[in-house]
Amino acid sequence: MNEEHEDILIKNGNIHDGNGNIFYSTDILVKDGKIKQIAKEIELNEDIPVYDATDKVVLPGFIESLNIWGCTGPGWGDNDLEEHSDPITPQMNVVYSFDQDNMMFQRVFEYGITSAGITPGTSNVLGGYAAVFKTFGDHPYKMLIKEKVGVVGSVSRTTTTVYKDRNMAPMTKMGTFSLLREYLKKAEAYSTEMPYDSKLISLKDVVEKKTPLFINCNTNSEIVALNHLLKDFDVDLVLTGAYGVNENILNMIIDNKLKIIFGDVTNGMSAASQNLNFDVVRELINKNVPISISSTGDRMSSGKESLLWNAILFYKNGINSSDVLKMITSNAAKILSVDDRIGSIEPGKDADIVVWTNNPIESYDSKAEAVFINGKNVLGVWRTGSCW
Amino acid sequence: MLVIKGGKIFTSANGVIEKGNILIKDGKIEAISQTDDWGCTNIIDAEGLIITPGIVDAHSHIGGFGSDMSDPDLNEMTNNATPEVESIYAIDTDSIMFKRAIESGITTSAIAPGSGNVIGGLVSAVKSYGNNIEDMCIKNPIALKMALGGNPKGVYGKRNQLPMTRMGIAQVIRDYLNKGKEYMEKSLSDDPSKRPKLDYGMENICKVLRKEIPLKVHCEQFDMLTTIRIAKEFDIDFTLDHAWGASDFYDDISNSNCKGVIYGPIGVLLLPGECGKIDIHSLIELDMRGVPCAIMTDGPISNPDIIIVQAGEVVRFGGDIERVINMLTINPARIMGVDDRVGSIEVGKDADIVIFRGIPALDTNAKVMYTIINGVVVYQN
Repeated sequence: MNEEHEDILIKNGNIHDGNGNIFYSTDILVKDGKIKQIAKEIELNEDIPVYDATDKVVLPGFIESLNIWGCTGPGWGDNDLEEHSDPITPQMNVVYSFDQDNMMFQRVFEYGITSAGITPGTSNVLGGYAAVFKTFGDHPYKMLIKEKVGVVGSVSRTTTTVYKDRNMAPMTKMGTFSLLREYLKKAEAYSTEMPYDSKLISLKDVVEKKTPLFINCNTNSEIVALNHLLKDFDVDLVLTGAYGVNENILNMIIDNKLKIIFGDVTNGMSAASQNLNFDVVRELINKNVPISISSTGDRMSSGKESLLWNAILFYKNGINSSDVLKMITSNAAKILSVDDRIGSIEPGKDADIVVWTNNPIESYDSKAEAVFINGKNVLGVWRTGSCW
Repeated sequence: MLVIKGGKIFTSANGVIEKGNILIKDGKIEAISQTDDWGCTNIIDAEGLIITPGIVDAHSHIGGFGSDMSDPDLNEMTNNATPEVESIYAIDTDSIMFKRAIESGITTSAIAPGSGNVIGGLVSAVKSYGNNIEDMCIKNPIALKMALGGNPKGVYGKRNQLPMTRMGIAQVIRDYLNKGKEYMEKSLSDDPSKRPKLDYGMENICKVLRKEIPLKVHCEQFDMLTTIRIAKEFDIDFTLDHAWGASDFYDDISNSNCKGVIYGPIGVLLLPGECGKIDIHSLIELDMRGVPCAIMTDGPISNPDIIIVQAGEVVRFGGDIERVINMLTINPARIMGVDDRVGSIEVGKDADIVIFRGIPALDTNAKVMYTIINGVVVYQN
């Protein structure tokens, strides 16, 4: 597999840049895997391969905000995401669980996904650090865009389900919230002069707003309770799942500058996802709340199709196509703090670009016919010699 | 009486009518015409809208598993084969899942026992609307459920019981079918004293052996070959349900007694083995070869909406929209043996009709505007 970054001229496509702009019949020049120039009829003196995208829809590579690809399997029992030895494990780093061959086996780039936030499971109160990876490659650290993009935790019933049978906290939601508060408080008081404590070192960055806190929550009550508890702290909170957003908490979300990564609405098994009110989603968009769409949630078992399906369901429920695209490109990049590298078609960014026959958010009659990651078309490339 | 006026009708029987009217009377489709001279004043104006037969989900567990598997009443995992049990007794018809099915345009579902056992029990065809199970069930049984592979292995293997392996699964099936043959032969004995004692499970196996109903077989990848081989040996009918990996076995499937491939759900994590190859595009080739193809929700595993989203995936890979809509309507109805009542818009059939804004499985934002079951508007957007 050739990992070299390539040069290419993607010619004459209808470009949706991921920031809400559309440039019709426009060229993109890619040099060394980065977007160099976007303009009409770029003239070249040098010999660079040309991809004709005439009448095609050119989109930024999609970003799956949170998923578990790469970290579970190959056997049913192989799970490298749930460190259930302790409900508080913020120091765990998902980078050490990510298997590039597992990621490649999913072939999510066939559905336009070029990067993904990979997260520890949502069944610990504090589960560990998420990281963002490209979805194609033969080396995990070369695929890694950024690690420690957030500490991921959960206040949904997934946590109590694990620990209550052991007769240990959290047995109830009260226990979950109490543990969360206890450790954040300890982290505030922690200093490097004190004895080494990996949990508190991780959480120190959270309470100092250097690392965002991603909390999985399903219901409106869980969101309100979380906000209530975190009033005493200065944290950069991202709600994940978040199906319970409603009119009553719009201002709370805006005033506290919360961000949202919506969870999977395709999976029937998470009953909570049925409550998502798309009118409220539209309100949140109008108020410029940073929102992305993902396939995350209590039960993360999603395939290459899932992110696009979720995007489609947001579109079907009245969110306009351009806003939906932002939620799986530029917004996701911002929430995951990787917008310096990915999330839009702009000069200087990684050349993660997908050429579609039609707009896949608007029509099922749409296929990715070229998927550029770092400027290289990976669509027809298969990993060989893998144990997967 | 009710008239649906001026819509574009995908009949799933006689092509597409660009602009037509449907007269509904006494819960049935009374007439279909380009003109409306019926003098009926109860009219749904479907001008600019798309009309399809009610969607038929050929593989579901709604009403029997709670809305999130919290109330599993369709897996009687006390024996590796329970051919005597029937899904109709486990269906909570007040379950919110039926309301959600209606909102997504699903008007009939095949409700099957789960896949915990090798032989799970009888499957019934149930409408999404009605007073109770007797009212909603339009045919019972329609099939006998079976499951191969990881599911029954996972249940009984943990208990150190048969079947711990795929060999064991095949043996359980062959044993039951052979015992069924023996039971059937003895039942036909002229000497009443030689006839066997009534055994409900064996009676149901005999229905399969007499080809009154097919086996409905949960199987993926090479497990399909096990089904095909055993079905040939016993000369019985079967459907391949889930069917991930079907593209490896086009010839085997199309040369067999397969009464239908019921595909889905997709959108799942890939793992080597059973969940390693997902190929919904295989429906295009199978359909071309004359194998009846349908798409499932496996509800409540997938949300009801997802039946249309998956149909959209067949369109993505080049499926013709009319043939794909058939995979949601007449094909599953035929596979389930309820096409005398549902699955197409034809005179004499039950008035189970969905009116969409936009073409389902083509326009991603196609929305259900009306769902009509037995001529009753049961949902209006």
